[in-house]
This record gives sequence, structure tokens and C-alpha cells, in this order.
Amino acid sequence: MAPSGPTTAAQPTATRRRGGLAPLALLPFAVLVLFFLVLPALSLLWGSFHEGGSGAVTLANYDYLSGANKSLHPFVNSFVISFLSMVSGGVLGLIIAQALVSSKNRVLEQLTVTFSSVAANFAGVPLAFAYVAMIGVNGLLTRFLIGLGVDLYGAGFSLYTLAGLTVVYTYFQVPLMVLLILPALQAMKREWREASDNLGASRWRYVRSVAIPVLTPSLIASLLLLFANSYGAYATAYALTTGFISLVPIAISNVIAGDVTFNPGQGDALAMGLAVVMTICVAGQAILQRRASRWLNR
Amino acid sequence: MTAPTPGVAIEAGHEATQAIGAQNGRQAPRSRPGRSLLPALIIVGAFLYYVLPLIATASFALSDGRHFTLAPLTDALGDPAFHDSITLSAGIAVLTTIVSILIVAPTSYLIVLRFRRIRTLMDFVTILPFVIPPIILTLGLRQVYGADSPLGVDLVDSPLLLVAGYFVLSLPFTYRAVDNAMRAIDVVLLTEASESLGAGGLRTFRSVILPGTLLGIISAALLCFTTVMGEFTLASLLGYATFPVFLNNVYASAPREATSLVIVSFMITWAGVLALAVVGRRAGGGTTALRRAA
Repeated sequence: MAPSGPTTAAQPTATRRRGGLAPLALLPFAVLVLFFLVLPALSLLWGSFHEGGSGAVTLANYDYLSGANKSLHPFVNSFVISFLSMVSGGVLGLIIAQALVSSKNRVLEQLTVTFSSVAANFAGVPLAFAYVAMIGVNGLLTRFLIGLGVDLYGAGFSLYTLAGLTVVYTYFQVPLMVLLILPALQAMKREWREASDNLGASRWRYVRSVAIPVLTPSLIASLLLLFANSYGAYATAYALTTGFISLVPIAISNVIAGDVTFNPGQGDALAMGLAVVMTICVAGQAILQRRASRWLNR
Repeated sequence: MTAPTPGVAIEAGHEATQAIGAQNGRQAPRSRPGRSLLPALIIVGAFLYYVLPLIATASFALSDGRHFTLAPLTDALGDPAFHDSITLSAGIAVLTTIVSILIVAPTSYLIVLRFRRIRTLMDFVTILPFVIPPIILTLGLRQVYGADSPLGVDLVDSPLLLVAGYFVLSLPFTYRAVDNAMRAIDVVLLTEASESLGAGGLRTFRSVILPGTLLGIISAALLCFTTVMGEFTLASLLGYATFPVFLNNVYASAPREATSLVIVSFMITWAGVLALAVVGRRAGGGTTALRRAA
């Protein structure tokens, strides 16, 4: 028998076949996500609206929203540290990224991107200890500055305060900003600048009328991720202050450790509050990123 | 969100690297020497900023107060508790990575091939761990699988709970990396071709899809492994002495030893990032080659 063209029996079947065992192959994924992500999340949601002992429905766990008894403190502190480290990391990261674009040196760019990836990942416990060695009471930089006549701790600075923590957080925010904003800066077309020049616009006019409008969505999207990045961070703050500074993640960990300041229901409500903040940031980032791609599609 | 950061950063790094690659053809305009001095100064400053904490770490750890010595590092490396912690971390990281790849790769393949309609749902589910940071997941896991579990399943003493938690926490990175690789090749066309040649579903996956997406899968594995190696929150609050937890515990009694281990931790991070950069660069070339072929 001479081989002929494809017969109907050998027609592609992959996408047309229905049923079969394929849905079963999705089962392991579905089970893991259901039991170890969805169920725990639902448990927190349920717990946040129910009274611990009796199981009666209540809104009391969300009392902290009223701000009574300094109960909003963790959220305020987390906001302050996230906002400050977002601004410092955002500004420094933007300056570095722009310097990379201006330098037009590919090797330097690659090198900085790699270093930034490492630095952005160098967070948590190791980062906390590195900063103690650097600007702790007896840190290398602290002593160096004293040699120059600048006494950080004498001037009231301490690594173990909100301000100190902001300095440490900035270390992983800067490289994250570099990595997030660099693609947007690189996508700015040289033709735009040339067109603007040809029309007689000044450098400042170009920045104001072209660069800022085009970059704003990417900038805000990146800043939102920076904000979320430090709002949910636990390890660095814990290693540095062993839970003395009241941040939302620290407050939740105190509930886990059996602290009596918050009961379990309130712990759940704190977690929901944190999840809401994260959702706003992540959703806002996703929306803005879509917006940004209108101009900056590579 | 400290723990999920690695992937974001590394992924963003990839994008940045690719963007640089794309710009390859553009010629740099003539620049006056005075102008390029400021960017150079800023970049030097950035490197100093990145490196200074490490110099401080080394100068504190590798000294007995006066002189250079490797003793704190060798002491720390010789500590049996260090061995236990690094073995535990590596064991859990390897297990999580294997489980993640075995589950995520076929799932992603099937979604692209047969269940495109639930793609949006999958994108949503796999971004969820960003909204539910480790600290929230820990609280939830302890409630559902703790001593008074409503399901009657007490898993807190089982490392499997840690593996399951890490599977979830690394999903945004693992799923995205594999899914990108699946989208880069024409999964439907390749599967139809393979099946019309008589290969079954499993054979198609093993001999066609897997080789075509291998670099993406390796990226996913590396991201998963490094995420787990550095994770502190879940391990600490579930009571496991993984490497970061050990590092934190040992600091109070032996700060020099602990600080010297920061260098070890840093080298693990470096290894992960470099491996990812290498794979990312090769994947960039690989996928374009495949796209051209298809």
C-alpha cells in the first residue's frame, strides 16, 4: 500500500478531543491551591467576622479600624515605613536607572542589573545583620563617620527605630526600583526627543510634556509594588527589632505566638486589613501597567 | 512581601536584560565627555551602596576585634546545628522544587492546550500569593492545620505543611516562568503534529513539549529553590530551624559567627541570580529560534 496524504483517522485530535483523563491531570494543582491557599484565606475571612469562643457573628474584631487604644498603630507605622522607603527607594532607583540609560554602556548596564537582582534579593535576616555591622552602634560606617566628626547615634539616630528600619528597607527598594523602571526608561524612543527638539522645545519642556506623561503610569505602578513590598515584609523587621516595633506583620506574628494584646479573631481581622492593602497595591499596579504598555510597548 | 521579592526582582531583571538585548542595534549618539561623567558617578555610587553592607559584614565577621581571622566562619561552618539547618533548608527546597515542577508544568501545558477558557482564572490564582504575603498564609495555615484544626488534620509537625506552603508561595514565579515558556512555543501545533505522528499524550509531553520549554522550566526550578532557601517567615512561625531561622537564633549568642554566615547566605543568592541570568539569556535565544522555526 502506497502511503497517501493524511487520512481522517490521523487528523489532529489534541484540541478537539473532549472529556478523557485530561481534567484529572489538573487535580493535583487544584487540590494544593484549594487546601493550602484558598481554605486558609477563607478561614481568616470567616474568623475575622466571628467571635472566638461562641462563634457568633461580630464586627468587633475590626474595632481597630476605629483607632481606639492605639489599635491602628501597626497600620500607621507600616504605612510610614512603607511610604518613606517607597519614596527613598523610588527616587534613588529612578536616578540610577536613568544614569544607566544615559551612560549607554551595555556592559555597565548588564552588571548593574545583575547586582540589582542580587541586592533586591538580599533581604530579611541576613540584610538586618549586615546593616547592624554597617550602621549599628559599633558599625563600620558609624565609626568611620565618628572619625569624620559625625556622630549618628549622638544625633539621635538608631537602627532599631522606624527611621532605622526605613534605611534598611531602602536597601532592597532601590534595586527593585531599578529593575522595575529600567525597561520603561529604555522604551522611551529617541525619535520623541528628536521630534521635540525639532519643534524647538527645551529640554525641560520635553521632560514635562513628553517624558512625564508617558512614564507616569509605569512610575506609579513601580512605586505601588515598592510600597506593597515593604508593607508585607516581616523577616527584616523581626530580625532587627525582635518585634518591638509595632508593624502589621509583627502584630500578626505576635497573635500567632500567643500574645494577649489581640485575640485570634482580631488577628484574623488584622490579616484581612493587610490583605486589603496588598490587594489595592497589586490591582492598581496591574491596571497601571496595562495603561503604560499603550506607549511603551517594545 | 519580602519572600516573594526574589522572583519579582529576578523576573524584572530578565525583562531588563532582554530589553538591553533588544536595544543592541541602536547606535549611541556622540556624547560630550562632560555629560557622561555624571551618570558614571551615579553608577559608581550605586555599586558602593550595594557593596558597603557586605564590606561591613566581612570586616565585622572576619576579625577577632583586632586582627583578620577566618575563625568565626570556620567555627560557624563546623557547627553541627548549621549543618542540620542547611540540610533541612536544602532538603525542603529540593522537595518543593520537584513537587512544583511536576505539578506546574503539566498543568500549564494543559491550560494552554485544552482549557484556555480558565486561563484568566489561573492568572488570578497564581498572583494571589502576592496579595496574601507569607505572614498571612502562616496564620491561615496554622488555623486550618493547627492543633485544633477544623478539618481534624494536624499538620504543624509535618514538614509537608512547609512544602505545601512553599509550593503556594512560589507559585507566582514558577507558574509564570513555565507559562511564558509554553506561550513562546506553539503548543497546539506541536501537539497536533506529534499526535498525528502517532505519539500519545504522555509521549508528546515528554519528547516534544518538555524539551521545547526546558529552559523556562529550569528558570522556574531555580526561582522556586532560591525562594525556599531564603524564606524565614513560614519556617520560623511553624517552628522549623531552616538556615535563615538558624541564622537568626544563633545571632544573640554568637554575633560574629552569625554575621559570617551572612556571607554564605549572600553567596547562595549570588549563585541563584547568576544561574538564572545564564538560563534567561539562553532561553531568550532559544525561544526566538523556536518561534522562527514554527
